[in-house]
Amino acid sequence: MNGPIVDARGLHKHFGALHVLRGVDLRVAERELVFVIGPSGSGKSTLLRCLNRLEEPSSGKVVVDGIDMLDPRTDINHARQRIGMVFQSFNLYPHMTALGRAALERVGLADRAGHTPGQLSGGQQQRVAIARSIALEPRVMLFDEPTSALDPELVGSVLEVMRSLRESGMTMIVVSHEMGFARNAADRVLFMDGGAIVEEGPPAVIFEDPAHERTRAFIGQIQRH
Amino acid sequence: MLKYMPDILSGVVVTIELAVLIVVTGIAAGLALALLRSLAIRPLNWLIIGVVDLFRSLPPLVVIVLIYFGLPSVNVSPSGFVSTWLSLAFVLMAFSEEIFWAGITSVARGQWEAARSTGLSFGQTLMHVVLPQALRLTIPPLTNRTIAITKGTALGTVVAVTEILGQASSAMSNSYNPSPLMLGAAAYIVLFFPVVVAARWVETKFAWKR
Repeated sequence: MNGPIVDARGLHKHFGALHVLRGVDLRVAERELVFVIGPSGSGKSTLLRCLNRLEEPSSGKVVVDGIDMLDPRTDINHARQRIGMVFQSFNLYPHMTALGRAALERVGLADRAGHTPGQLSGGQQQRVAIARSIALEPRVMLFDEPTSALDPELVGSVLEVMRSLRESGMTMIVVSHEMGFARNAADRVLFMDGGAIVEEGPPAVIFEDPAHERTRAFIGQIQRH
Repeated sequence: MLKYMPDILSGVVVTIELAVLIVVTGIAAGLALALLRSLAIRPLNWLIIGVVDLFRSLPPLVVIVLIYFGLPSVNVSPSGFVSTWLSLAFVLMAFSEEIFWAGITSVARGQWEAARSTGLSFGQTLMHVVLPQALRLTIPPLTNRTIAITKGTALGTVVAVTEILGQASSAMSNSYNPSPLMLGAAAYIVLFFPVVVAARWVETKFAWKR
């Protein structure tokens, strides 16, 4: 295997007085599925958004698929086409229909091409949002709490699509608390707290036998319900 | 009464010419300013906000009189027609800029982020994702404001524009009775009622379907 497809080093992000990322290093290998968990405000989403420069890191380095994302000479719009992103709130365009049959087939919605977001359920909307991203044939997919806004019975369909994406060999970085999915699909789980990665390891280790007290407390909390 | 019809009709033509000029240039300029403002260049935005607030606070009649009687002192002498057109176009520009701007800012941040994350540029995102949604939101306030300002063409009579009201009042001073005025009022209704109805139709047609 070559070097990592995502290579972020020493990432810091300040929002005014808030120090949201405090020196995060993240290397992700090709075809790897990395899960990021942690309490709200721990910097998970900000980390994800720094990788495609939706958020400008205050300092550090981000290289994705060999492209230096923070170099001012980089054509950021071109670079972003290699990095798909899926959002908690879908962010579909309400004035457009789904279209793009090829991508819709991969999320099991080929018959919904002519529908606007308003005519789709939340689960279908999120699957269309995934189709929108994979239509560009990205090298990496970022998922920012893709199932948090969904009713429980709709979560499964979205996870199913993510699972088949993973089987097709897509590199994925997922911010989510779907523990069951993480347990049987993730290669690695990162636990973030206070803007730093506290610990990381295989799902079995992080969920059953974490090394840090903070990780243990957090896992305990999300498993209680 | 009928012998004043030709005068009133020529007034209607002038009113239509004025109205079309005002609507096209005023709304185009307002949209252009709102788009410029979205570039978020600080000094430019201060300038835009200053100009917009100026024309939103001045009564349209004051603007007309200022241009018609004021500009000649710097050796520019616009006709009454041009003065009325420019004044009302500036006022419509100011109000429509605010309406377009409100529309643009009310489109959710996530729409920008989703578009930018797929590699669309700022301009492409604005044109293909944000503006189409913003314009729908702006239609009801924009049609209202446009109708209100376009009716202000009657103010042109103060600076000798021979639009409907101007024709009607001069006919009245010749005939010594108010029937030309009634004709004038009828002409406004014939002219603007279909516009109001059309505006309502456009508002329902483009109402948000979720």
